Amino acid sequence: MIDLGVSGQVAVITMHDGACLSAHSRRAGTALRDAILACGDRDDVKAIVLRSAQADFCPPAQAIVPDDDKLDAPEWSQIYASTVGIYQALCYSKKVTITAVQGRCALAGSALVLCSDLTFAAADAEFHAPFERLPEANFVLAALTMRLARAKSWTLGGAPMDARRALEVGLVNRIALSDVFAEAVDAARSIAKGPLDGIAMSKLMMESFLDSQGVGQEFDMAGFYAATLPGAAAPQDRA
Amino acid sequence: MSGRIAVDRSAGERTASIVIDHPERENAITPRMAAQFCEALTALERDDAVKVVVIKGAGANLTSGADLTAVAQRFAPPDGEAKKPLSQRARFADADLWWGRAGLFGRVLYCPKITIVAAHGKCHGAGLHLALYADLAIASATAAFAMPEWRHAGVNGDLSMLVAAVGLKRAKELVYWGREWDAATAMSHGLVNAVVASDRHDAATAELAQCCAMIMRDAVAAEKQVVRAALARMQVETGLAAAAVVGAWGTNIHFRQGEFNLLRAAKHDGLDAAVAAGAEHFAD
Repeated sequence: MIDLGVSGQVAVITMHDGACLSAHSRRAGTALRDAILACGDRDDVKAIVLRSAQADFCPPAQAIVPDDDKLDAPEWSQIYASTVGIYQALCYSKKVTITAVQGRCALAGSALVLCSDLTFAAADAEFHAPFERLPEANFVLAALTMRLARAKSWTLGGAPMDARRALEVGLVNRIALSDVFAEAVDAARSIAKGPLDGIAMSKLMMESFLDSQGVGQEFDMAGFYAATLPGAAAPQDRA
Repeated sequence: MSGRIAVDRSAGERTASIVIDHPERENAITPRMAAQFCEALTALERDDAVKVVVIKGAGANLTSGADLTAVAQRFAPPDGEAKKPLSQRARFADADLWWGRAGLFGRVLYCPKITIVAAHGKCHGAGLHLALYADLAIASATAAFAMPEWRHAGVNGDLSMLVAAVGLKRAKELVYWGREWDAATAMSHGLVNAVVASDRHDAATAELAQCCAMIMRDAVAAEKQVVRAALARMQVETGLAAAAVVGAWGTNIHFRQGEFNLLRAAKHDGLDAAVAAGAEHFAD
């Protein structure tokens, strides 16, 4: 479900089915979470590129998860919504994180984009707001990234943003000229020229800033949103 | 040590300019100049006739940032000179000059006069911070904004104003990736209020200052207090305090094999050679 490779101080995490993350698959969630946490602890990694092997980074529809892959509320909290869950692990990683997005990006995909430090997009990328159905998605990050009015327009307007618009509002840092993954890796290698301690210090400084802005409190609200959002994709029997 | 902060009152009693005057080092700001800058601000703040303070650089640049000559001399004196490590107290005192309660950036941010930065040429490091902390920034088409020192040793400054101005992911381009923004990019990201042709920059800055100087003094004071309250809610004070701490730690980080240590290179090869080697190391 997840491939992890490290080369030249850059880790590449490849997802094979983002829709499973949107459906809160136990196996997909655990694999991605473990990969992110493992990279965070490795001294030979300075930057992480997260990509999808599929044409869509993460399609809008959720996958059908087999019964033995479904999780209960405590597991959902642990794997997806806790301080060591996927999104907080990515947001507060000690490494610089880059999402390389092509095709459709929705639900878990958009939540991952918001939590990553930088985002590279292919020209065909389109970004759907994740907040209506994904309780772990962090609206404060969206407001900090693209400003409040644009974040509200994104989530209430219903229409996805194309890559050009996402660049204009600051959700995306670059639109790739050709190969979005290659360009993301190039940026990661450039970032990896900096000292490991300096990167870690910058990430800590950013964490301090994010928490001063309420990002951590918003993550803590996931359980509440899961219980109250009519279309929430989290397990019904919540912790 | 050369370099000075000059105060220019030639534009009339309502507008004063603080000029960063160290062109032989691209207007790099020494610790002494940072202190002079604060003294100049104090004098202008006490002058009730002054409504607008313009911050500009002499020659081709606003500033290339903190003067690395002074930094290298303090933290990595050439071989043969005193080698006693600088105390943590001294490191905090150095960072305080920029980020402390009475430091340069806080003084600009909380200045009761209207502050305008005339950004041209290199606006690196402190230059970018001045554009952030002043009320308004008007850029020449030649202006280039970057935080090169953050690639060498990580973030040593406040992030709250940067993210508020340009957005989170764009701020991270500067924080982690060391990108340089030209004037048009800075304008589209919200870092500056206007971009004008370089031959119009002085005149456009003077026109903006004149326009601001028409606002009633009490209105200026009231609006600045409103902004100050908003900044408090945005946790900017927390960001400045964190910057003062991390700025001091930044001179203490450990470099691993293969990583470029500017101060060590400066100690062995001289500052100019070290800067050149750093540029080569980080070139894409």
